[in-house]
Amino acid sequence: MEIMFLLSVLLSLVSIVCWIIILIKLFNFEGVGKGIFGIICGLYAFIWGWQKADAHNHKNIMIIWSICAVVNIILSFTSQ
Amino acid sequence: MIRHFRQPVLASVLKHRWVCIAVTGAALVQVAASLLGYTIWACPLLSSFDVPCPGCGLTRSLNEMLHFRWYGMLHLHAFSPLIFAALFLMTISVILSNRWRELLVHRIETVERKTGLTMMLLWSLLLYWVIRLAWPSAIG
Repeated sequence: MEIMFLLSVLLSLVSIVCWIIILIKLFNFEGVGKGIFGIICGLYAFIWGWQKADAHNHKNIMIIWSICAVVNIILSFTSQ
Repeated sequence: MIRHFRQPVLASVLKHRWVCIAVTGAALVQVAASLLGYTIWACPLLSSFDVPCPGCGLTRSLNEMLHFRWYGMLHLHAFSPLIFAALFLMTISVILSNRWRELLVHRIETVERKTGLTMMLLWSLLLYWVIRLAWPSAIG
């Protein structure tokens, strides 16, 4: 159970790093408004990240973020 | 500075139907799961650092709203009625035909450009988050 918790925290940390990288790009390419929206609604940053994955060359980051998110959701369900 | 405040944010999100579908769909699933006692999307900031993100408490707050518990709703997240309004607009833009959706987007864009309302609300939300971080017992 403790390993599951540690794994979940680790995946969350990786997710945060990916989120920050995408947020920086969101601020740079779309402006402050959408950047703040991406902070409040992480899902928007996630969708924008996939939308512009090829254009801004961050497909690998999005793949890592997606894997972390999916595994975290599975872990969250199995622990409940 | 004024131009920055008049940047249309909501209108540019509403323009893309599938973005609205994804956001409202995820919100619906999250709230429905929360009503059933499950957590699908746990906040990574809160689970890793025990620090709430600006959107933390929104799911529970929307839950309170669905139960008509207004005090609980505002206590958990003061901006939840506005977030609900934004989600409602996104749902409407998903349902509407292209012609009506463009009209809605145009109207919202005009309001955003004239008043800078969305940007002011976004900045207020960030300020609210800072206050929540500084005085966690005072709000939410």
